[in-house]
Amino acid sequence: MACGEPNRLPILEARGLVKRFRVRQSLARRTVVTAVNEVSFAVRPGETVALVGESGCGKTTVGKLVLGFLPPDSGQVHFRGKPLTSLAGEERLAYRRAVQMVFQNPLASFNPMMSIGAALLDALRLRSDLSRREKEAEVARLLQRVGLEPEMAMRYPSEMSGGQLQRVGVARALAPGPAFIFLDEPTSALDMSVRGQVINLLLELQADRGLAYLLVSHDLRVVRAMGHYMLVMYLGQVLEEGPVEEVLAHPLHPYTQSLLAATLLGLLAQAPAARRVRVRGEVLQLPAGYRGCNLYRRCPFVTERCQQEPQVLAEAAPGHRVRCWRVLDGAC
Amino acid sequence: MSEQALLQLRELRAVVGPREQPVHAVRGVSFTVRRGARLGIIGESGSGKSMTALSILRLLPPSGVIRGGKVLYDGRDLLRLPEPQMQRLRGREISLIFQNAAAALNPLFPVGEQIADVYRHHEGGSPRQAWERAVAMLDAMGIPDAPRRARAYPHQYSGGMAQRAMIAMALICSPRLLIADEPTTGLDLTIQAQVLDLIQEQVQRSGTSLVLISHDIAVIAEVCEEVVVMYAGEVVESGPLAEVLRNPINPYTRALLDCFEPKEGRRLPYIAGRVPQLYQEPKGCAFFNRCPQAREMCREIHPPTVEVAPGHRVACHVV
Repeated sequence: MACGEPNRLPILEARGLVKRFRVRQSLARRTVVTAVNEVSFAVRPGETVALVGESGCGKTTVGKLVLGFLPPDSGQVHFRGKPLTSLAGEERLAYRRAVQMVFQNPLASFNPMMSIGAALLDALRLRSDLSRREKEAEVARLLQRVGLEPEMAMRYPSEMSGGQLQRVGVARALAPGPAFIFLDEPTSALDMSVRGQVINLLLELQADRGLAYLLVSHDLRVVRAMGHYMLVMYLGQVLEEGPVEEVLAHPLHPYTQSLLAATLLGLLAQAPAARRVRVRGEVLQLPAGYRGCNLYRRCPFVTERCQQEPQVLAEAAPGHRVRCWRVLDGAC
Repeated sequence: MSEQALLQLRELRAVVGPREQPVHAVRGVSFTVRRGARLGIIGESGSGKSMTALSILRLLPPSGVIRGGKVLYDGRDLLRLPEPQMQRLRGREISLIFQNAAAALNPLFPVGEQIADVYRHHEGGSPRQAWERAVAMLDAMGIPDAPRRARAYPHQYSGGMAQRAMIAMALICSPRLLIADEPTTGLDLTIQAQVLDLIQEQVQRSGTSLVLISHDIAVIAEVCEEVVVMYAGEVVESGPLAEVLRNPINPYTRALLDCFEPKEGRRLPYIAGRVPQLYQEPKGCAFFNRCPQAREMCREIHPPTVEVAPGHRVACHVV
């Protein structure tokens, strides 16, 4: 599967994913929260799709849906063109091997009582084609591949730096021979000076093996470095999506603009108008049956119409879609 | 020295950890906070920035010991102040806010009560007066429906709200200096921007000086006028923010700024190697093993601090 082919089959595809949770508000009252609302995207070999948004926007739920940890209420996840629900036996196992994850906090995602080598051997369980000795050789190879000495297999997680341990996290995800890796804030627990090491490693692996990544990050610097396509999510909905370079250079939605304003990218952005946009208040639960824009109480540009009219995600520029009628009508 | 200085650190040194093998966390730190100024300290984990802040208030963890130097506040050396006087100063003249606000609040008492306690401890007055003052403070911090929220408990606050409450508590006695240690780390981006706006607004309005500690230059660039760059327990560069951002001289500052704002391509710059373990103080420059411009003398000779432009100081042999 060569990179750069325009019509490569997606490895993983989300089609109209919806996930609702029943949440208990008090002893007597329960409400339904729509954590993911009509989210669609496709991740192709050698490509990174980035999900950006704040806590509660549904990005983690999207991750759980594509990893098959949660069933969607409607919509489908497709693996190499087939719905997840249809996979059984060998195919199900192939999906399990092909889809892996790197966690946010490397220290919390390793068993402190298990050596690095033992943790990697454990991750090789799915490789039933390898003998015990081959697996041990594979552990050394994996460590070398992520730029660590094979001797590090003897160490325990507490004896490593955050950057080293996150490399082991990457090695563990590589162990079963994946085609797709879900990267959940892979560098946010790391110091600025080592973030680049982990990101460069992920970029190299992607170039080498044509890996597809789904990246969750609130750090737009990481998104810019790694992402090809990005979706900005808020309260379960996609508010803006498009190629990363396009969205970061010309953010259209007030929410995306406010995210950019909060980073140094914003300070130096080509679009200086975006700089001072601030959304007000905090994430609010929406009243039941509400159909207007999810951002309405926080948006600095809100009007009557925003509260009443359902917003649609529509193309504002070639390949660049936004869910805001003001932008689409050319009102701003 | 100058009338403008509110706080001056001079060659401050502190160690933490077991007595047999302490970590030299703060190694001769000097900087000045002018009255009404906003100064940022940037550094990575282990650079000694938090330990420096805690040393100012003499709040080091039990294993921490201040080994020397001076902390001149309004001309008085805080390191020589008797503890009762120090206690009167904390929270009244100098306040501190932490990263995880929700963890800094007592879960068993309503938030408003905890804020009122601080006021009564320092200023006296009736419980009722203190309560009203606490509610007014929460309101001023942009907490909606403050009289009701004041009666709520910390777990009923979101992260952003808890940080607003911490700021209310820190500012209720109108301190002259606010030390904020990573006040927005862990908060969502839009909330982070709101909290930074709030801090900036409040200190500007009351003329409070600010020391803002962060690992993120974007946070410091948003609020501060001056910056101090720390590495391995030392100040490696300091000066007016715009000047340091435009013209960083110490190779560490340059490398760190590059990590934030890559110049070219998709690959991100990083600093190879690790921060040295400070069980022993390095003889020469602590950045020696990671520095792209290191020379032989850097290993042996500790770099002196040189003023390269008005107020812009650099500790590096390259200068």
